[in-house]
Amino acid sequence: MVLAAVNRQAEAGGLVPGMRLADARALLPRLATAGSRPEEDERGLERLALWCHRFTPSSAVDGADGLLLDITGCTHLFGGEVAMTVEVEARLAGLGFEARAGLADTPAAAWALARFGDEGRRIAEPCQTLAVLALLPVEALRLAPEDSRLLRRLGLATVGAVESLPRAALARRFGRHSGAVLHRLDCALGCRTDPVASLLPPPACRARLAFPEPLIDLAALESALARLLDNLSASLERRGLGVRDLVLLFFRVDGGTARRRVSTARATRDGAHLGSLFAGKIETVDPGFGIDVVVLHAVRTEPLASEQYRLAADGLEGRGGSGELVRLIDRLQARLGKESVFRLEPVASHLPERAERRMDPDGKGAIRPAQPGMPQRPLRLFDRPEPVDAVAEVPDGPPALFTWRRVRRRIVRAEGPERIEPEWWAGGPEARPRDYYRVEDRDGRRYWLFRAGLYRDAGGKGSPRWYIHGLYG
Amino acid sequence: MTSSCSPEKVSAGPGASAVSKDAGLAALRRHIAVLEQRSPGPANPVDLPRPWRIGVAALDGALPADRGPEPASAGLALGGVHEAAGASPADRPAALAFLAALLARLGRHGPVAVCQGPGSIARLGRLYGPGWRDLGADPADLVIVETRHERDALWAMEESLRSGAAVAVLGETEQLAFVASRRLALAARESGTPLLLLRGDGLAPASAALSRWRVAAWPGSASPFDEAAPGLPRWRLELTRCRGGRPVTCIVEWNRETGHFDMATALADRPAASRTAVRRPALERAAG
Repeated sequence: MVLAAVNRQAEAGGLVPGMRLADARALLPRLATAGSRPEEDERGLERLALWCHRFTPSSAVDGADGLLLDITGCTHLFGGEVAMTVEVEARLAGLGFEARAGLADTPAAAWALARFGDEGRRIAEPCQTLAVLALLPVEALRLAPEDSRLLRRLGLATVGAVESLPRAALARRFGRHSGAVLHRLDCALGCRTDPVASLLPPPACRARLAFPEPLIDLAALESALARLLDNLSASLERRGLGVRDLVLLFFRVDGGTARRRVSTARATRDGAHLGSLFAGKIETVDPGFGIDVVVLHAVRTEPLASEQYRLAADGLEGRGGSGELVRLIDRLQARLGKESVFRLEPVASHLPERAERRMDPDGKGAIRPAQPGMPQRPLRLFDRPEPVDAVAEVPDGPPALFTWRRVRRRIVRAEGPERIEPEWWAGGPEARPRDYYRVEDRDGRRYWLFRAGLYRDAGGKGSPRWYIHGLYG
Repeated sequence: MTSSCSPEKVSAGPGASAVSKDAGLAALRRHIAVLEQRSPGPANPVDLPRPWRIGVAALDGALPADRGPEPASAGLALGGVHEAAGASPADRPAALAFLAALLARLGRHGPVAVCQGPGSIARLGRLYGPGWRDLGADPADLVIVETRHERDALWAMEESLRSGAAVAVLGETEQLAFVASRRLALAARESGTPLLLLRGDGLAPASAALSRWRVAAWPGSASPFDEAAPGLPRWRLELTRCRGGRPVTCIVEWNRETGHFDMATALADRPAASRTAVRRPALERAAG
């Protein structure tokens, strides 16, 4: 067993990560240990990265022990770069984490400064990256250990020393290692792109609201949402965009986050409408010890002309006009779930259960061609046909009597059979031809029954069975 | 607005004569009429309630006459709740078909919101578009809302009514308390959108519906092309309660080709009289 991580006291006692536990116990007999669970650390770091979205729209987990925040264009919200790094460090300290922040033009340089920069000198002014990095040890380039060992053996102890060598000479002297070294150097100096893969996709548009005192009251959160929506729709309007997916992020003072998402059927930037979609979703947010930042992300946007009311297409033009129906569908879907609201679309199939499918309600249902020769279909169809006990003339007479749900029904009229063969490309070997009958019982109630299978080829599949598949009005 | 009558004036003390009592009652009735008419109508004048006629003289005659520009015409009011229930649980598909036929007669094209809870789908199956078409209604108009809880279905109905986006709302509910039905009735009246409500719990509990129908399947005639095959669907409609109308019972046949109800000519040999006798108290209550 080896040590995965040590705290400050243990470090002072001479322990280092990677040491065997027996050796560590010999040095510090009263050492307290706990099992290492790297995957939980990883999850915790991810939660922390999510929480860091309070500072910036783009944050990511970096390695096993780092977070990467792209703060381009965010610093003014926190009073400048210095104030922002202080705040990030202080807030993380408040959560019980010891954090060191480095700030530079490139992610690789910031990584180096956070780990190898001296106290108070971890911020590289714009375009000063090289000057600041030059003093750092070569390990700051984030090379493989053997690469940095090789560089040190050759007397190149600092980043500046590596950088000052001519590139051709470097390539000649290091052979196959030079590629990695040059790559890391270019990343650090910004000569090569080094993108940050944010945990949440950076939104096209964003609104943020921070409170001096954490909010616990849900009503206050709702009014905050109204303000955020106002801000967001103003900036969407400036850019000629409408939103399809909207994510509301709540940041709790204790490091927790909560997310609520709504989608719309059509691009919109109508604040009141978007607010109504969040109705009922905010109540379920647990404010904990208080929420101090609320951020609204327009995750998916589409171009939207300035005149909102012109957008309703003919098919969606409800009675109230102006896309009322679209808004209604949004509200229903926001509360009941996307799959709960749909239209029916006919499908070219003879099998009744395949003759139609659900489609997005955002669109006009297709025109159904009239089929004059077709027998009538029932008003309600069972998802799974229910077996019934039927008495019918063998081999293919209509049923005279059937028992369904323990009630015996005597049939006085019947129409059929309408034979529907299974679709050979879809049904398995179990699929059998069906003979459908439209029947009426003595009370005038109408049912749709079918006999699965035929007597003449009943051999391997057993004798035909009767099912009820639908109800007529 | 002027005939506001104070209640003190009506109860004029113990010595009030029968005549003044009658006058007081009449004043109160006028007052209530004023209150009821004060409700905000639909915003759009195009949508002013036009009577929605069933097309059978016996039924339309029993419905309240419209107080609009054509006082002679009678029909179902558009801004209100109309309930139907099966006379027995097995008649529920017939009640749904009757409501679908009413929708087909609405004569307005546009989205129809259908709100269903989980109970009826589990027991009676899903709405089937081709069958809807075969009944004479257009399934392309349907926007179907299937909810996981019954109370969500009520919410969806109310939301659909209030939005005014649908030309009509068709709801199916297993249970409905009076307060909930009152909410739905208010929403329907404010938006001028009719709500056709299929009730799974029968018509026993009180409700704020404008009309309540009890529907039963009735033995139909044979198809004109095939003696053995079922012909047009036939239902026994019982208007048990109708505000401003009177209860009536009749047997109609729905003709999907023409989109008309017809009075059934030949009645089957079923003891219809005994069935009405059982429900006599309900009829009297509704009439009074």
